[in-house]
Amino acid sequence: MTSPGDELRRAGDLEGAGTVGYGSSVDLPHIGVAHVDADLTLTEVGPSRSLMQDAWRRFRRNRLAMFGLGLVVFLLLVAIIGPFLVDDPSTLYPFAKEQPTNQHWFGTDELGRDVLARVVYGIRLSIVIGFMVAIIESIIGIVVGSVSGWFGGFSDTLLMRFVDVMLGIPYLLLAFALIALLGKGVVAVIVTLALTAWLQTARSVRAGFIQTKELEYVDAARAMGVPQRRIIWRHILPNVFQPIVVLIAVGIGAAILGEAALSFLGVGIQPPDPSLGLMISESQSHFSTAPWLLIFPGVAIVLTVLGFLLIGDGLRDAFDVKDT
Amino acid sequence: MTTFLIRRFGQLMFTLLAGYTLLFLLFFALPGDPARKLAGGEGRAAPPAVVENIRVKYGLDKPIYEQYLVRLKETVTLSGRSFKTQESVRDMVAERLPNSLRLATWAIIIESCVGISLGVLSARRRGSVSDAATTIGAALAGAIPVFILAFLIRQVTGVYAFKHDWPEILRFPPLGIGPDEWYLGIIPSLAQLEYLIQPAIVLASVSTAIVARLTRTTMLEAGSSDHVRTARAKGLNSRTVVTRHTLRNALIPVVTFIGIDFGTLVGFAVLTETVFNWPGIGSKVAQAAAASDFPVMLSLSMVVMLVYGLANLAVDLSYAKLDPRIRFAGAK
Amino acid sequence: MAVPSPSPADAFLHIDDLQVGFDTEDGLVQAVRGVDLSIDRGEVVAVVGESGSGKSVTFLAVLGLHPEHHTQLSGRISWQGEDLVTADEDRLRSVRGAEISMIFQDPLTALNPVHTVGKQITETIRAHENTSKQDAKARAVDLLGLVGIPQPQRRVDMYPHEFSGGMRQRAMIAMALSCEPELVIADEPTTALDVTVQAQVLELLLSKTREVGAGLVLITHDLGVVAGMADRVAVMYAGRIAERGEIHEVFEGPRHPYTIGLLDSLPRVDAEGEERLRPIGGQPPSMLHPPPGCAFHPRCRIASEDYGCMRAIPEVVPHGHSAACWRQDEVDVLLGSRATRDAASDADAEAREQQ
Repeated sequence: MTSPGDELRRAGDLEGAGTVGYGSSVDLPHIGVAHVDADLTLTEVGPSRSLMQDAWRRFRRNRLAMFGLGLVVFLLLVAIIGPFLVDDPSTLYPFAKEQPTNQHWFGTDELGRDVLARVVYGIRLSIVIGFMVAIIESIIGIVVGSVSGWFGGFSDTLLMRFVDVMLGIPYLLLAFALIALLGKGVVAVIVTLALTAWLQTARSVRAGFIQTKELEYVDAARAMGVPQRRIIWRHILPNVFQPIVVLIAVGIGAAILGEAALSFLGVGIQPPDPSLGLMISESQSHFSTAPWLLIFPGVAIVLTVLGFLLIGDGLRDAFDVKDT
Repeated sequence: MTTFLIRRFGQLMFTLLAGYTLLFLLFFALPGDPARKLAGGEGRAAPPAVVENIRVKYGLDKPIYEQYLVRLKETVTLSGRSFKTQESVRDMVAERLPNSLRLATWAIIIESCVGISLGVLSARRRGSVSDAATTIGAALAGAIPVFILAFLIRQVTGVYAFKHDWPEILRFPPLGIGPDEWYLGIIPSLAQLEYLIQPAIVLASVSTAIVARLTRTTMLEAGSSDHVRTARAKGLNSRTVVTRHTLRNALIPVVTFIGIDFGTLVGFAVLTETVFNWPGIGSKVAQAAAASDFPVMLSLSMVVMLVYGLANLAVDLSYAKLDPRIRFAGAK
Repeated sequence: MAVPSPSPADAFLHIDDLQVGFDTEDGLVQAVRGVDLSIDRGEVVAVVGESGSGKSVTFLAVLGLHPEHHTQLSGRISWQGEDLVTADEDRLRSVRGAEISMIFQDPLTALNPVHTVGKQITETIRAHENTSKQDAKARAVDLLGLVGIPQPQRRVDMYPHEFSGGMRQRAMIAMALSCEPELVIADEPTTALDVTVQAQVLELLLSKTREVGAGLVLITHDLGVVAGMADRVAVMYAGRIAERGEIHEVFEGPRHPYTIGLLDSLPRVDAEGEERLRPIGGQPPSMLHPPPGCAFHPRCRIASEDYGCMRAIPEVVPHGHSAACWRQDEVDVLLGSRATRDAASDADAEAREQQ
């Protein structure tokens, strides 16, 4: 079904009907000028502020996305302010494996530590790791993907071959090796996760570049001698920007899950540092007697990851211009 | 067509070689002496004579490039033996690979049926309660770590059910793999099914969410496409329009995803296999890496990479069958 | 309010006060705001307008192709005496493709890329008639030959992307004619084609529909296309009909400022420099909040408060040559100045030639 908006948009496409000749000028009334002011038109096609506002408005209307946003904001607050409000997570209290009480809202663990404090610090650690990983892998991924997508040819083949090989290698092998190299702990975890995550980002960025490169308005810009760097910056990157933002949001969630998995397996964060994954692994044997040891960190992880995933989904929907 | 196949196969071989090299270097780039590790593990001081013995025994004293070639030959012919247990790699693969294949197959079956149905339903009832429920469910499935899900399921059906005397049907034996009874190599006997079903469901969970969401998106896209409008304008009844025009087109990306996922699930289901003690190839690789069991680590990783590469290749080939536009390279 | 017109019981297609609105996130988009149009058996009617004028939406509504939710439809669409607006889905399905066919703009996207062209034709035939697969396929081959596609027996098993643009559109025409419809609606059938191919396809469309005795509705934004083909023309603007009449009446003596503007904006090869292009100033209106009164007034050179151009919606009369404009008096002035301009540039051209 063509809605009027569609028709107008289609008419605005520079690549639209393409027929210039006797009789096609009936379209001209809404361009309104006899010659095309190319830079002006290109700016309008680019990442105009209204596109952002449009997407934001769409995002706001998406209830699940807003819920995700709320979750993340809440958890960020917990991560930032929480540590000031709770006890030191390594303090040992006299009563171990105690059920949730007024004094210890989340109870205590098998060593007597306050679970609430550990969960708060765990959330902070997860979010920090998530962000760090996302930033590092995004930068690597964007750079590699852009070079690959823009220049194509040999460098493209080389880089993509490399990505293929890396993708085939069992993830845990890489993890073990890097951890043996860097020692266990936060740094190793971040590096491991980042080095495996950039692959997907690179692929998506490359795909975005390849698609946009072919569009006619880029040809038009090139034909007018707009320097390459400017083309990339103003015309291509904005189009690639959308999937990147989505990937980053989802990537943070995935990184948090990854850290939890590594810690759970014993090769991530080491005790006594508070990692949610570690807490879950340690709590398994006590489940029948102290289920809260699993529940609280478990819920914390799920909510954190959920928040970022929902934001990612919401962003994807918000940027999707194809309406019915 | 055949040239395409040959070329892709060659690329796969090259990728495998590159992967092998990377792994080999990784192992040797690690700090610490592998011989000493094998002698007694870290921390335990083993007498130098023992360490030397081990070094010679495993050929770790030879120059690197020689080791590279030796291991390469060993890997390709699957003739290695575990440093730790002397078990032949070939036996290991013969035992473990089928297990992983079966687990992955059933996970794929679950994720396809459930995921696609949910996605189609979601798309048809866009905006309704069931749509929202599916979206939330999909998000949750992606957010719950596999090990938590696995643990909870085990607790409920394995321990809880026994403790509280639930009816027989709901009780599943907690861990491992059942009796080796399979029809056609793939269909489990009922006894085996009890062991298989939990890890299969857990393994399928994340992918199901992705498939559901992907199907929903592609169905919505296809549904609003021009050719569906044409199909309706021709007077076709809605069932035909949905199956022959919407679904047929929408499933193309979904099927490719599932194909690649199969390759991933076979070799990379480490967490699930570990939690459920399912003797698959992924968990064995992880074990070997942790124990510095070099030959096992190398050979099994190569097998995993091979399976992954073949799955991707199969997907590429099938893509041409699914989407006629791809068959003619360069045709506009 | 539309002037109620007599709708004879056997009027071929009669659209009566059709209104189509879409519920969007930003509000109600009034795509069609009261269209009255009649089409007689066998005639060729052109519907001309810019994008957003509502021309496609009108005819999609005839076939009931708008999704039920988010669409508000009112009015009457009488097809051989039967109202299609209130018809049930089964009846509409039997009309689509068999009694009224529609051809769309871009044959590359309008045809399903994963099915062969032959399959897409035969499924149409078999949806409406009880034919065997082989018979249907034979008919498909014949149809492809009929529309001038070479080697139809080979082509019938090929996929849409293997055809050139012009051939694809021919295939679409074949598909549309496969069940011998009585009316063919062609929505911008040549817009996506190369200029050289456009004329051929239009010619084909015209001749084939004439041969079968079917009527043809030609929707286009391109006035030049219309001249040689249609019997009557309806010019649409902002969801309403601005002017209607026999083709030569409207072309030689347009009575609506918009039509005049359209005709003016056709580039003239003989004009000099800036005279070459005379676009209509301004932008087409938003259909979310259409201007009150005559929707064209913001861009109209002779619009005036005193005549109600900003307040009251002018209407066309259902028959004969009519324009929806309150300022018929001033139109002559527009026409007059146009004539002088034409005369002036004619004189210029002659002068140049003599140099």
